[in-house]
Amino acid sequence: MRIDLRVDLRHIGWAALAAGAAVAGFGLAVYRWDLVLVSLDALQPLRLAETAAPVAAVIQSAFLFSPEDEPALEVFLACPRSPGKILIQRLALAAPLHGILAVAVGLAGLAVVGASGAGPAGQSPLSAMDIAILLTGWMAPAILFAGLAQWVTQASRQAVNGVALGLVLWLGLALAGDALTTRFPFLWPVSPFLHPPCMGCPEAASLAALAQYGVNRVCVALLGVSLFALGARRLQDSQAVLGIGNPRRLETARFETGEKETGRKPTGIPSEPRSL
Amino acid sequence: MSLLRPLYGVTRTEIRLQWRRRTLLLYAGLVLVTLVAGTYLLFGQDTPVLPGSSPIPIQRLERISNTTRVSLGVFPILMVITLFTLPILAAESVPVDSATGMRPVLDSLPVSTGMVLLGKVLALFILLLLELCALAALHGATGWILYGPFDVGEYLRVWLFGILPLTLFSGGMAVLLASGQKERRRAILVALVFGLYQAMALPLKGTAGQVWDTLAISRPSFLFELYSGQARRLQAGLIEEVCSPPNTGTNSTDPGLEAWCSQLELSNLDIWNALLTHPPMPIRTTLIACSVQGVLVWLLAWAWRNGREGRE
Repeated sequence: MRIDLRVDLRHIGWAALAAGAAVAGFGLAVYRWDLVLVSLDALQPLRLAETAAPVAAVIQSAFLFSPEDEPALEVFLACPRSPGKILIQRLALAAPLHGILAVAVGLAGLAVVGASGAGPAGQSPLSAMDIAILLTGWMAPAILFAGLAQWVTQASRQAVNGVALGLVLWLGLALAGDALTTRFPFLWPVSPFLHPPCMGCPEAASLAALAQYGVNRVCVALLGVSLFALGARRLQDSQAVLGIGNPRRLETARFETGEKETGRKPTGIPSEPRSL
Repeated sequence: MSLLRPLYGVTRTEIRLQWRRRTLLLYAGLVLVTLVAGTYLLFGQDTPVLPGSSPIPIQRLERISNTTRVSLGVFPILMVITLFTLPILAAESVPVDSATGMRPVLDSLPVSTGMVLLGKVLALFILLLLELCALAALHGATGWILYGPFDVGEYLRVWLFGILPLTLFSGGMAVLLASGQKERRRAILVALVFGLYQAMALPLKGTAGQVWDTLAISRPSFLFELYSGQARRLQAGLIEEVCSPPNTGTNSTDPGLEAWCSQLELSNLDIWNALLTHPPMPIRTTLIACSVQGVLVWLLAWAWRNGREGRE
């Protein structure tokens, strides 16, 4: 078990965390020194954890178990520990590291805003609820984008597709997510970058606004978990992991050529063998 | 002939491998969805406000409106996607040989390192060219059906002088920059850094802005200027013939014309603000900078691979 952990830790690496930290560092620098002429909401310090954590999560998740990138794939498949368990074990090892990164980014954002003299937009300091939202709001988008990257990786067997699709959606929704929910308001439950209830406002956010934000976070996280489950489910099928092809089609071919039946009759196949 | 034959072989094989990997198909799908769905979501559902009276025929106004909508609407977003995503998808072209154990086979062939690199870049260019042709045709046809007739010449100019050079440059540089990596994961990370660097088209303030502008010659995002130059030309040539003071002066009381002009202002889009605040870089400078960068990266990749072969 110790060897497994060591191998998995080496597999997790530092690159994904470095990518997330780089995005966060860029956002903090932009705010601290007022570098950019245009206003980008996603780079505001109080939303930075929400923006940076998904980047790290996408890269990490896509490479957790990518069939094409596992040199010892056949060995893994022959071992008693299934690829699904390997994925979950690596995920369990990586998740705390990403949590630490995101909380550190959130605290750094708070410190930068605090150093500038006041809460956001020169208003009152943040309440305990605001800080709680700030430190946990990143989870839902990180889970969603990580789940998406994982699922695409398993479906295509290549991590590069998961990384590309995850990052494109991250970028697109971070830039145009508000425009999308403005035009289609009914999409608010699944908008990963929904604005949290007014942070630092003199009066506390209304219960309805908090509830709406909570429902959104839960829906987004559930979507991500579902995508993770879909990806992990594909790992149960050794033939799909090996990229042999559609197992049902293989079974059909065996059935048609008179090979040994697997017990389950494929649907849509005539019960009588074809006459030669 | 003796030079072209191995090049042809490497290019053909690489085209097949790229096709099997399906990564460029994913890119084409992303671009198509961004173009068609993005244009429709952001602009397509609004009926253009046409002026009640205008010195220009109403059909011409409709055509201008459709041209700006189809040609310029979401293309800035598409540019960011191209600069950011394509390098990630293209970067594994060389490292995948090491990952699949093909490297020793390639090394044993009488094909030089430079030829292999050239073949891989050429294969990528051919595939991207085919994809862009298909995408331009599909998006154009969809735009024609959804919104109506537009100026095909202007539309093609945007693709030819705006998107094509950006796409080829971005993909080719990614292949070369990541060619020194053995693992696909590292190649993707190299491409990610390169992609972020490219996609950084934000105008910066103060000293940072001056440094960033100086660096513009070293980063391909200045290719945006080729595209925004097309946009400016289109804006100046088509829109200002209606909205310029001599025309608006005669119809200054017409709120319809003013509304029509304001909806065509490119600066209504945030991302355009970033592009329009910078004066365009001369095309000659752009092309020279592109060539210099390409040659430098080529030499770097070639030297890296040769050095590694020597060590191994």
